[in-house]
Amino acid sequence: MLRGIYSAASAMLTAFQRQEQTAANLANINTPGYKRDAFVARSAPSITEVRNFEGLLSVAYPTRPFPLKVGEVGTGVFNDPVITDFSAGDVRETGRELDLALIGPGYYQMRSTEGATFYSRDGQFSRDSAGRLVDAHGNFVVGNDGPIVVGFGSVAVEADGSVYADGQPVGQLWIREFPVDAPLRKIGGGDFIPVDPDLAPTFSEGATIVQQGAIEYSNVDPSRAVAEMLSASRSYEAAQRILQMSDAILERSVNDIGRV
Amino acid sequence: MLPALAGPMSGMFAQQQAIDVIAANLANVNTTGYRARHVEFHDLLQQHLPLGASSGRAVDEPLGGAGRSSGLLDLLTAGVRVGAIAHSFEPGRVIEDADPYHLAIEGEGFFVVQTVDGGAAYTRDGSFKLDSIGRLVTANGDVVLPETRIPADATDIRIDDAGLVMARLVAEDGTEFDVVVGEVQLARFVNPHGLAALGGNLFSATDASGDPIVGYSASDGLGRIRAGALETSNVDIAEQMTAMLIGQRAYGLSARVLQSLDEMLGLANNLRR
Repeated sequence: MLRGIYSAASAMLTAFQRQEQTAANLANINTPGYKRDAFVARSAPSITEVRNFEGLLSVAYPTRPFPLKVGEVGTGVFNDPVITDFSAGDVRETGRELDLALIGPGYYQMRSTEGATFYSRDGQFSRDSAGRLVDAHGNFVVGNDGPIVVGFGSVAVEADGSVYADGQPVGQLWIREFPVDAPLRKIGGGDFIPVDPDLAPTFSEGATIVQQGAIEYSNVDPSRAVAEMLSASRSYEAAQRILQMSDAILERSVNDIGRV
Repeated sequence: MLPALAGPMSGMFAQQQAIDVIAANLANVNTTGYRARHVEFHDLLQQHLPLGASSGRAVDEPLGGAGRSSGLLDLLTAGVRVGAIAHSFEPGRVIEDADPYHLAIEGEGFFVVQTVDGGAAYTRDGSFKLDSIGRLVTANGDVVLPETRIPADATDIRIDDAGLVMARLVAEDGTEFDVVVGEVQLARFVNPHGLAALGGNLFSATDASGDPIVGYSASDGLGRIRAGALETSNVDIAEQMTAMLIGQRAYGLSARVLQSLDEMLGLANNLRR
């Protein structure tokens, strides 16, 4: 019976974590380039129950194989670590010259001021005091020839990522793609790095298109998030009921069994 | 505060800030030279120790087979924060009025003014006037640089498209003559988005904006001064209303999930009555 309490408690815990995750996704519903995180629930290893008075039974049923299996009993549930959903978010027009949305699987290759490389789909760029194309934290947007310098004039970006400053070509955005099964890790601020540092991203012509004057928003779907929220809340409630019932049964066995 | 409630709280707080910025934009829709602002959101991460960490798997082994799992002991999204509040430097509309001291800039650039504490500040608001000693000042009384002093007996004061301030004076022999009494300069920045807002339509230079490039109207990539006109704010009401609706809905969703988490915590508290 104690096992029932622990199983129910593990169900409550996982439902609560799912709810926290939904809350974090909903908080980022307007964050450009944000990718939804989701838990995958897994059942905890199950236990095979065995009838353990085999000596007695072997006398009664000499042909039965032993030990006699009763069946499998689950021990609860836990959340696997987070899976990030990399599907595309909504693209919204902003009309701002340095807002660039990626349509397709690619990422902008970025370089931090310390020289570290990472990847992002948040296309809210601006220029720094040296005229380089940077993100909100001052990290550089990398082109085919190092950080892209757009200067201070008008900027045009073509669908293939070619950047023109005042009509002069200044480089091409170094858009990289990752294999579908390659794990990426979030590092905050909408930025990603591959979990395997040796993984070299690829580029395939025309797979990713750049749209100027637009931003890709998060891929959090509010109706789906609300459904997840209700589901987590109700499974929490159900697990809580089971825990209470297990507790009531335990109470009976402790206080009532054996009472004359 | 319970850590579980911090995520939806951060969402409500960030959306509230976004709505506040929209409210300020809408309040300033008729403010001369006002630059609309917008909020940029960034995700917040926290270290996460999952329940499954004791299941015997190697700590950094990726999970989920073909799925893109990021591995155990990972950073999880915990909420959202306002990463930046950025100004939009799109031009507003230029509307003519008859006041000769009212100036608008068509194109890039700012008027240079001296604030009361003596520092230089930059503004797009050209609703200038004269103070008691004949200096060209902003509506707040900040002196327009370089300082222009218009003689008390001057008549027919005009500011032309090059920023030259001209006045008609009367000579001792009674003849009238035109004289240039000052010149309005403009400044531009390599990165206007790096300017710091001082309030009252004023901006100040920062390391991110770079030093001002000061020059005359229509030179060095600076805009052209239009006298007898004012620039409106660049607030687009339709855009602001749309952003407000989105912000309001996002706030509501975060509030709803906060409520739900609260109910769940209530259930846990009442496990054993």
